[in-house]
Amino acid sequence: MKLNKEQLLLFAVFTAGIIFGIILIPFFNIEVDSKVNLSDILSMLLTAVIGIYLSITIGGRQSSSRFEKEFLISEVKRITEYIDAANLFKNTVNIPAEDAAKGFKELNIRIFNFESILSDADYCQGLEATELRNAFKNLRVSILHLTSRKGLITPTSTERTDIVNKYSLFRKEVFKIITEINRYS
Amino acid sequence: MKVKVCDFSKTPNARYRDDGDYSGEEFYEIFLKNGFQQSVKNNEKLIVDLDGTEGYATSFLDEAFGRLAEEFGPLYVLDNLQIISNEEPDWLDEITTYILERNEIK
Repeated sequence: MKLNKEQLLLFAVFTAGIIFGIILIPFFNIEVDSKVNLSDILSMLLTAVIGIYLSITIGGRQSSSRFEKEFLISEVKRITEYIDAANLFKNTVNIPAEDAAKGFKELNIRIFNFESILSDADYCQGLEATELRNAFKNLRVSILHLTSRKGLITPTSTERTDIVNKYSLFRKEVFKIITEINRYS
Repeated sequence: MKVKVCDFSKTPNARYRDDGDYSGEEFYEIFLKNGFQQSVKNNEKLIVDLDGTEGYATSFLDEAFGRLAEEFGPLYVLDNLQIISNEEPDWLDEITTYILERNEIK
């Protein structure tokens, strides 16, 4: 039978407890009173009930919150995955105009999906993607407002620098929003 | 009256005719201007549907709607124009900006 990580940890803690107990026995002379006070029993039961209640509610909340955060982060990653896969901004010397317009449309739709999911979030309430959207718009304008000739956008060196800067700012906003999602508990 | 950009082209291009086929300038001169005049004549708003294309260059939209604003006046255009963009709703605000940035050329 193969033990998983949690079972191994439980076994290790249990074994350590026994060893620790055996080591400590000679140092203590423990006396156990056979009489038990009713108020002590009630107090013990109450503590146990509160403990169980808290572990269930807090544990449940934490797992729902973790699920929501992981889902939101996966949606943000869909945005960056698309940029990486489409290789949209790697070559800023000659950008095919049609591909750029198509790419930005897909990117826009993915950001809208993310914004829509974010607005319905239960645990990440108040988190907004305004800066991400602004960075996207700035990047889009820096490319799609340029003149194209024969289907190619050929930015000047100044415009290329601007595109690279806007792209870096966009990536930074993606990173920032992932960090902000992770801050929510 | 309704004008669908995808009836003009699935792949709208850049700003001017010199930039290639299906430019914003061409769309304005062939579709948008006539459609707008016709709608105003019929006392109705012109509906422009942006959905169904492969995507837009901002220069295409700026030229088409900016020229409309220059010809008829920004506020008059906004009063008589309805834009549909379910796929990319942010174009509505962008186009409003393009229209308001232009001055009417008398």
